[in-house]
Formats: sequence, structure tokens, C-alpha cells
Amino acid sequence: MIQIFNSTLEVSTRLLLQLYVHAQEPLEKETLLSLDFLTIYGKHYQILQDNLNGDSPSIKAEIQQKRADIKKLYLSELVKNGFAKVVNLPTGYGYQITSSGVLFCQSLSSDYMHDYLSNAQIVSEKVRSLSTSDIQKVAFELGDNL
Amino acid sequence: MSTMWLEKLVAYGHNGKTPLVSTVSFARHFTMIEGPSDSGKSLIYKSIDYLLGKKLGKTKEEKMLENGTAEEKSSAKDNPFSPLFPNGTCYDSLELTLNLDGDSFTLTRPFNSKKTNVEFLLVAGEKEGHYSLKEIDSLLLRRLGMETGLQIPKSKAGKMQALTWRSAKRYFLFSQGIIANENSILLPLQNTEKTASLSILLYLLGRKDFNEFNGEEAIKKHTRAVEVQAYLSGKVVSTAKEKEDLEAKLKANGLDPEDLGKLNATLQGMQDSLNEITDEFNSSIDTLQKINEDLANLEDSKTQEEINLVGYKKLKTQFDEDIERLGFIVNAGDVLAQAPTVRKCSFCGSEIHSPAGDAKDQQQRIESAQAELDKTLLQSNTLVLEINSATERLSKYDSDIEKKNLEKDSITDRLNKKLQPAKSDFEFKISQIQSYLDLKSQIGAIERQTKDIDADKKVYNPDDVKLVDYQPKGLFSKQFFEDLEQIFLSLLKEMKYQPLESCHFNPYSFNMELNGVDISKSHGEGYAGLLNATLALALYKASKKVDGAHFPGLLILDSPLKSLSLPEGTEKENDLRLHFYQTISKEAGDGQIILLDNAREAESLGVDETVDGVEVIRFTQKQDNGRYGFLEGVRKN
Repeated sequence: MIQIFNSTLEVSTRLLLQLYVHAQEPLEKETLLSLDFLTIYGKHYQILQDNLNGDSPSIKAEIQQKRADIKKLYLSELVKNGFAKVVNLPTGYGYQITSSGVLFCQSLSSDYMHDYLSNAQIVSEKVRSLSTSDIQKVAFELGDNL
Repeated sequence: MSTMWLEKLVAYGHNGKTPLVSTVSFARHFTMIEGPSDSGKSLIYKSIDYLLGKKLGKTKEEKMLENGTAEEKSSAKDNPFSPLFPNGTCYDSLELTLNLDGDSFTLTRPFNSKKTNVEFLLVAGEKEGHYSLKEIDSLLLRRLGMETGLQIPKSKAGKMQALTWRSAKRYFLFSQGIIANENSILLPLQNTEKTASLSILLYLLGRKDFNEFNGEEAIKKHTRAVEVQAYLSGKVVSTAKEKEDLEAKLKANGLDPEDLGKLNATLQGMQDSLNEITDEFNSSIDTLQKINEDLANLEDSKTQEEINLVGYKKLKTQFDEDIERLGFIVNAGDVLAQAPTVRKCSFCGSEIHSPAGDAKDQQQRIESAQAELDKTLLQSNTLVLEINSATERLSKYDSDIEKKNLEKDSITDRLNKKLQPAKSDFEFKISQIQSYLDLKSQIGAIERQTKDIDADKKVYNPDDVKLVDYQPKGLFSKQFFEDLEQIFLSLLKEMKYQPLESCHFNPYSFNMELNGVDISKSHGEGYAGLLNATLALALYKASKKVDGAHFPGLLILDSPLKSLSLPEGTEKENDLRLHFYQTISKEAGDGQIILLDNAREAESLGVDETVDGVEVIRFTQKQDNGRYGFLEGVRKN
């Protein structure tokens, strides 16, 4: 059976939208996944009004799934398609959206895309003062206690 | 006539070393025991009285006569069982030998025992036995020919009591207190005992019975009639009050007590109307109950529908979110499909060709997402239809509930504002009429009861009970009073008593009047004792003339002249005391008189001791000079 939700296409597109929101700064893979999680489940963290993917009955299972997603090659797909590029960082490497990626994002037209971008902007504002490790901690560790 | 005379009195005791025995023997006809005060004369009298049945302690009469000092009273109180002998005399029992119609009996009775029921020892010949006071009393009555258990009247109305020897002996034994008092010696001091004493005297003077004066039954009947009358009178009053109250209640309710037929018809009509209203009331209650059940069902269905609708809406939200998300995926896939298939490597700039399998796989994913999107859209549309349907049903429930509530309010309103008040009104009116009918019935009962009470009052009328009117003084024969007057007068003449103008026995005061004055009063100090003693002697003599009399021929007088002092140098011819002793010593006849008095020797010389059956015993209160006193070994002080 073909997986539709949380498929590589869906997740990588959302991560590209995150890179689109943070176009001026390269982001590590863990930070990208954390921001994506906060954006779709922001209601649980009292950051957003609604959860974009609905009210999950088991947020813990979602967190476990998201940790497993780190090992998946969502970003390499983006890089392979030319929508993102790998950037060296003092702590290792990160990802940054390319002009093709920007064009791709601007070509998207669904309501979900607009809602996601809007939520991602709000999350970005909320976590602006936090370090990348703090963002991961908020998304995964605090999430365990929900 | 049976006779009784005393032979000997003996006091027994023990001083710790030797037995004590004090004896006084009495002459057959006259014995005078003379001696100074405290030589034991009155002790002899008291001993005889005690042996003839007097109870220990003082009689009511003695207490009335008593004028002893506080110390004496206190002593008597401290020693209630030894009032006979002074403390320290060491004597503890008495013995009396008496002769009854020729048979000699010896009665022994202890007197210092604290037992309340002191027994007598009776020796008759070789036989002896112990007897109680009551048994001795009966024995003496029997031996003297008197009836035991005879009922004698003790009140004007004819209340009865049994005749006893103990109460009869007051007419043979006259104590110093009785002789010296200012009332008739023939009547007791207590008014309550006078009737009984007169009954005894009547019996002693020959009356056989008092059956015609037995008023016990009449008294019982009268008492019962008075009680019944009082009860009935109270009942009439309370019944009349009850009737009055009931009638007032009827009038207060505006009811005419007389028109019973109309009232019953009205009652029936009201009862029918009440039944109709009650039926309608009950029917409305049933309808209300059904509406409430319907309402409960509607509310349940509505609640269930609301729960369903919430679930539907939640599912619809999920569908909407999935549709958006699937739209996002399809859109992303579409855009990606239009992107250039040849890409440059970000590191080296060389062209990258995607494998053909990747493109195919990607296309399949997009198609699946599109299919899922279509399917979800279809489900979402179906769900919308169901939501609309549920919403309509909810609206219908609300509408039905509102209708039922309106119906309920209407019925409740009718129940509360019309049916219930009408029902209560009828019930109240019916209860009023029923109460009235009950009251009417009660009044009927009360009227019947009142008639019964009136009838009963006639039956139980105390005035119809004939009470006995016992007047003992009127039962004495005129002849007896005349004999008594004549004997009394002749005795005084023999005593040379002066003046002797008239003598009359007053049947009302029941005393002799000398020269128009009661003998117990106003004859000078000491004369009352002499005159009272003379009356006792006259009674002793008069009784001998009465056929069937029960006097035993015995007279004992204690110190009759104790208070009679004559002037110094009174000549022998005028010595009333001497003449009294001389006279009485001759009057014993075939009976026995015992006189105890504080006489001077010269006075007692008037007694002729040479006559058979006459003796003078002198107590000198002197050592080695005659007999000191009654009790051997006991000295004054």
C-alpha cells in the first residue's frame, strides 16, 4: 500500500516551506524537523490556535515518529531536486533554500500551504530568541511531558 | 350475774443476787391500801390495769390528762416499754390471781420486754397456756358471761365496732386521773369514743344487742349514693358543656341543625360532583405522566442525536483537514512534475538525471493522493448530508419538546388553577357537612345520656337512704337514772356530806348534778374526786339492781381523795374523808372494792377490819415499821 500522509513528498515539501520561511539562514536537519513539528502541532505547545494536521489523539506517538524521520532522506531529496543546498556551519552543516526551491514554493497554491506558511512564520517569531538546541528540546523533550 | 374478784397481785424480779417477789393479797370484799405518796399505791392500780389487758404505753385519755414534767415525758419516751415501774426497780413481770365465779386463775404478764405482742401465761388449775392480748380479752368476756365479737355502735350513724373487755373495764377501774378530772367519769374525754363507751355501758346494764342500730349498710348505701350523685352531677355539667360547645360549632359553620334531609341531599350532590372532578383530575394526572414520559424519551433521543452530531462534526473537521493536506500533497506533486527533470549538482554543477523508476514511483504517489482526496471528498460530502439530516432531526426534537411542554403547562395549569381548587372546595364542604352530621349524632347521644343521668339521679338519691339515728343516752331507762340518783344521795348522806339540797342525774351531760351543779365542777378543790368516786360507787351498787347486767361486781378506785384537804382541827364528826372511807368499806356487798388512797391512819380507822372480807394494808415508808411499800427492796429515792 502506498503511504500518502507523511510520505517523502509531503514531509520534504513542508521542510522546503520551512527553508522558504527561513530563506536567509541555513538550518540544521534536527532544527528543521523541530520547527516543522511545532508548526503542525503548535496548539499542543500553546503557540498556535489549531493543529494544522488535526488534533492527534497520541502526540507521543507522533514525537516518536518525528525522531525516526530524522534518519530519513527528506532533505537529500530536496537537494537532489535542486530545491535546497548544503551549507557548511561551524557546528557541522545545514540546509538553505535555492532559487529553484523558492520558485517551487511560489508555484504551490493550496490552502494548506498558505496555512503552513502562516503558522511557520508565527513559530519562527516565537522561537527567534532560542538556540537550535533549545528549539529541539522544546519540540521533543517537553513534548514528552504533554 | 357472773362475778370477778382479785385474790392476789405479785410482782417478780431479780436484783442480780436474789429473786425479788412482792405480793399484795386482796380481801374478798373490801381492801383499802393506804400509804404516803410514792409508796406504790398507784403502781398497784397500774399493775392490775395492765394484767387485765391494758396495752403498754399511755392511752389517749391518759395523755390528755397528763400534766407531767418535761423530764417525765422524756423518760417515758425513752422507755416506751416500761411505763409501769420506775427505772432500776429490777422487776420484770406481774402476776394476778383472780377469781371468776369461784374458779381461780393466775395471769402472768412480763412488762419489760421489747416485744410488741406480749403474751400472757394463764394458769387455771393444773392447766396453763400462752395467750395473746386479744385472746385474754375474749376469755375474760366469755368467763364474765359477755358476748365475744358483739358489734356495738360507735357513731350516731350506726358505725359498729367489736365489744372488748379492755374498753369495758373503764366502768370498774377508775384511775386517779379519771377520778380527779372535771368531766363525767362515765364518759371518755375523747368525743370520738363517747358513743362507743355509752354503748358499752348500755350493754353492761343489760342490753342484749344493737342490731337495730347497725347503720353500716345504710352508711355504705348513703356513701355510695352521695358518690354517685356527685359523679352524676359532674357528668350532667360536663355533658351540658359539651352539648353547648357542639351547638356553637354548628352555628359558626352556618348550618341549620334541623334540616337533615336537605343536608343529606346536598351532601350526595357534592359527593357526585367531587367524584367527577376526581375522575378528571386523575385523568389529567395520567396524561401528565404520559407527557412526561414522552418528554423524557424526546430528550434522550435529542441528546443522542446531539452526541452523534458532535461526532459527525468532528469527523467532518478531520475530513476537511485531510482534504487540505491531500490537496497540498497533490498540488506539490503536480508542481514537482512540471519542474525540470534535469538538475545540476549543488556541489559540482554537473547534470543529475533522475532514474525512470523514481518518476514513475512519484507519479503513482500523486495518483494515490488524488484518489484518496477524491474518496475523502466524497465521504465528506456524504457526511455533510448526514449532518444536515441530524440537524433537522434535532430541530424536530426541539419542536416536539416545545409542543409537549406547552401541553404539559396547559394541563398543569388546569390542574392547579381549576381542578385542584374545585376538588379541595368540595372536600372541605363535604367534610363540613359530615362533621355536622357527626356532631348531630353526638348531640343525640348526649341528650339520651342526660335523660339516663336524670333517671339515675333519682335512683341514687342519698335522701332516700334512711340512716340510723343512734342516740345512746336516750336508751338508758329512767328507772336506772332514778336508782342512781337515790343511791348517790343516800351514800352522800351516809358520808354526812353537806349541803344536800338536790340531786339529779343529767342525761345530757351524763353526770350527776348536786345542788344544781355538775359534781365534777365547782364543788371546791378535791371535792370532785370524792363526788366522782361516790358516783362510781353508786354505779357499782345500782348495777346490782339491774336484771341481766354484766357488771362483774368489782370496783377499783385509785386515790379519789388525794386532793381533798380538810381544815386543820376538823372534828371527827365532820371529817368527810373518814366518813367516805367508812361508807365505802361497807358497800362492797357480795362484790369487791379495792381502794387505794393516801389516807392518814386515823382516817383509815374508820374501816372496820374486824368484818370478814375487809382489810386495810398500810404502807409506812419507814424501815422496820410495818410494810415500807408495794415493792420489796425498793425504797423512795
